[in-house]
Amino acid sequence: MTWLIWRQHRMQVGVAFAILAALSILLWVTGLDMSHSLRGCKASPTCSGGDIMNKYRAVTTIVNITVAVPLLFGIFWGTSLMAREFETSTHVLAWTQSISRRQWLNRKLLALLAATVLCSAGLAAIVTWWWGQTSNSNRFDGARFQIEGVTPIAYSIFAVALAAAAGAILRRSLATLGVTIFGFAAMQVLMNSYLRSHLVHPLTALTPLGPDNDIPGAWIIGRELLINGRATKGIVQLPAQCAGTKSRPDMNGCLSESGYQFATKYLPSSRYWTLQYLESGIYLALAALLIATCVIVVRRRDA
Amino acid sequence: MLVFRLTTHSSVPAYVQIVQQVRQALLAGVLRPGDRLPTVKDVVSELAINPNTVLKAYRELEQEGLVEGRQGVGTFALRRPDGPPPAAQAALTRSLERWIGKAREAGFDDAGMESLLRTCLMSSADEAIA
Amino acid sequence: MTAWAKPAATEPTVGNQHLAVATSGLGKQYTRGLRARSKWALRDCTLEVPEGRICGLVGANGAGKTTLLRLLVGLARPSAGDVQVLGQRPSDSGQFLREVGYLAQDIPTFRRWSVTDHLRMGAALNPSWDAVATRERIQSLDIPLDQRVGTLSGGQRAQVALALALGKRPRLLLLDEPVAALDPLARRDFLSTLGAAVAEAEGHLTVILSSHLVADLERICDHLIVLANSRTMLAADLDDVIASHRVLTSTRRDVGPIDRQHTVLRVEQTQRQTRMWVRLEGPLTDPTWDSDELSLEEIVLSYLEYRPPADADRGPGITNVAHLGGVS
Repeated sequence: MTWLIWRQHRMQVGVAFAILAALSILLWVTGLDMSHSLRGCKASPTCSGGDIMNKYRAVTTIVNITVAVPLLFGIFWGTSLMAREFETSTHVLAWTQSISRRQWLNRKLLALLAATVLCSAGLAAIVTWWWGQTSNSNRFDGARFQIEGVTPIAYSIFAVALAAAAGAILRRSLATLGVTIFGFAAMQVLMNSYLRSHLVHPLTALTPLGPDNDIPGAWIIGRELLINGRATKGIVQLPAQCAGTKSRPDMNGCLSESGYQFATKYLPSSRYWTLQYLESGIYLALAALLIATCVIVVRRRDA
Repeated sequence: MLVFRLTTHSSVPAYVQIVQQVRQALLAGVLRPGDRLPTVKDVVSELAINPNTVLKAYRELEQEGLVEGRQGVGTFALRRPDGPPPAAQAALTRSLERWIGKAREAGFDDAGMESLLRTCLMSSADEAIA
Repeated sequence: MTAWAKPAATEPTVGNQHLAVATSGLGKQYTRGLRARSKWALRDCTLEVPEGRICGLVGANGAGKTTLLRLLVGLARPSAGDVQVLGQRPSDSGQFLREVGYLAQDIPTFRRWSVTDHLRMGAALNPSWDAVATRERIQSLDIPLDQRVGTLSGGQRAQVALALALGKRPRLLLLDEPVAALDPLARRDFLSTLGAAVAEAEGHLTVILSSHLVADLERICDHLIVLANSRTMLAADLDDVIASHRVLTSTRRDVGPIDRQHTVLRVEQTQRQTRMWVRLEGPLTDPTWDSDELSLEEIVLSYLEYRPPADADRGPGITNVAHLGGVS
């Protein structure tokens, strides 16, 4: 059975390993280079971290693109796992040897999920390390939350599980592909735009108006303008007493005295891992449901 | 090596055809006592027929005492069936082939020749009784 | 060379014959979509196939041949009735699967794999795999081992698939129209290989082979099952089938006496003549009928075209399967 799994999937696994290996080498080399440059930069008064990072824009883009990798696992590995097999009826060939359906299915799922975990974990590790070499210290910034830590592993497992379940039900490669892409994208959109901000209860900081409103390393979820402790909506009129102020700092001071302040909803960097585990947990729970569905459908349905 | 040939859609069952061909071979001296008959597997491979057909034929030949089956080794010819000696057999075969040639020239087809032979056999049998 | 497995003492027998297959009221229903208009692909199927037979399975398209074979190997589960294969219910277990070989109609293979790859798969998935014999069987047919299966001819691919199915030395082999798409020479070669394998197994390999081509079946089979309209019309030894089916001809007269004693499949009545295709249920006592033998093709056609009699006077027609030759 091991031989069969390998022979059937060796192309996809091989290509994936090759790509990941190439990526790892690229990130390893550029990461070392970058961190060296940045250290040199810190010592010099004329250099800024941003300038250095500008030189590595191409690599940064590549790194950010790895947010698509989990879906690729689903597309290439997940569809070949079930959909392709049923579409070409090779499952009939496999199920009429001396191995039971149950064993066949369990071993296949286990093998490919294990490979998925291995590859996605490897990639996540090197990406996390790479970002650590940069001057950017906010792990919530941009796509970082989705490509570092454990979330990409959970996304990948989810994608493969989705493709496996869809493949078992639909038995057609093209339809499975569509369902996988759509389902994965929908889940990501849901998580990004709504769910994630509700997973961990955020803190609120009240700060006066001004430029210094940055909370380092935190995820700014939302910012509201309060006037005398009450939230405002829509366009805010400038109060009469501050109309005549000339400069920005004076304006800010006047507004603050008039009871204007910012209420910032945020998640501190100390809550990073909690959020990571919670989000991963959701994806893994969904993946478990999908795998269970796949197993039930394959075992109970006629060949 | 003895090769069997079967006419499909004949009123003669396949196993009988095989029995007849073995008998003919023994009579003609193509198959001699002590020779091994083709294995069931070989016959089946050649003719694409059911193994039981061949087994049935060999069993019947065994019952007639013409062959002997030896477990694990094969089926062997035992004796020549009662019939004309090989020389007479060969001579009769040649004259029959000549007759067939003449009949064909005269316009007879295979079915016509078979029918004629049967008629003559029947009338000669009647004569024998009478 | 590994020997073929023999039946266990606990397996069912009839007389002193082990039964490879025994079904009772077997049926399979498919639901079409949500409207639950279910269709019976196979209904009320009761038959037995003794061990060591090469059994032909005949029927029109959609008559239930593929369904029956899939039920026997366990690829589908029955909706009604019971099925016993080699003494047990088809189950999803290595122990059952190793004894039953199956060749699906479209001969699924991995098109891009070589023949050797398929043999390796066979060796990897089957503990009872006979690697030497299988390789020899393929090589003796001059099929190159390193060639991709997708580029082989239809006949060669069928032979590879047959070798794969035989490689684990099953006790029952189920073939779903394996020669339908093959040219006559490839067909002959396939059946030769099949027959040789059965000969080698010395009675321990049973084959059920579905086909349209009655001429092939006549040569290679010694048992016959006829399906029509998802029902079993006939399941008997071939010799008994040939012996018991006749076409009776006479001047035009009443079919009643014959109809009451025997099973009438078809009647043709002209002004002067009556012809009846019958299955004799006993000796034909009326010498005034001319009784002629029927070819297997004609017999099968009669069953496929058979329609139950319209009026009750003519008897119930065929209500159950004919089991001829002592297998009750």
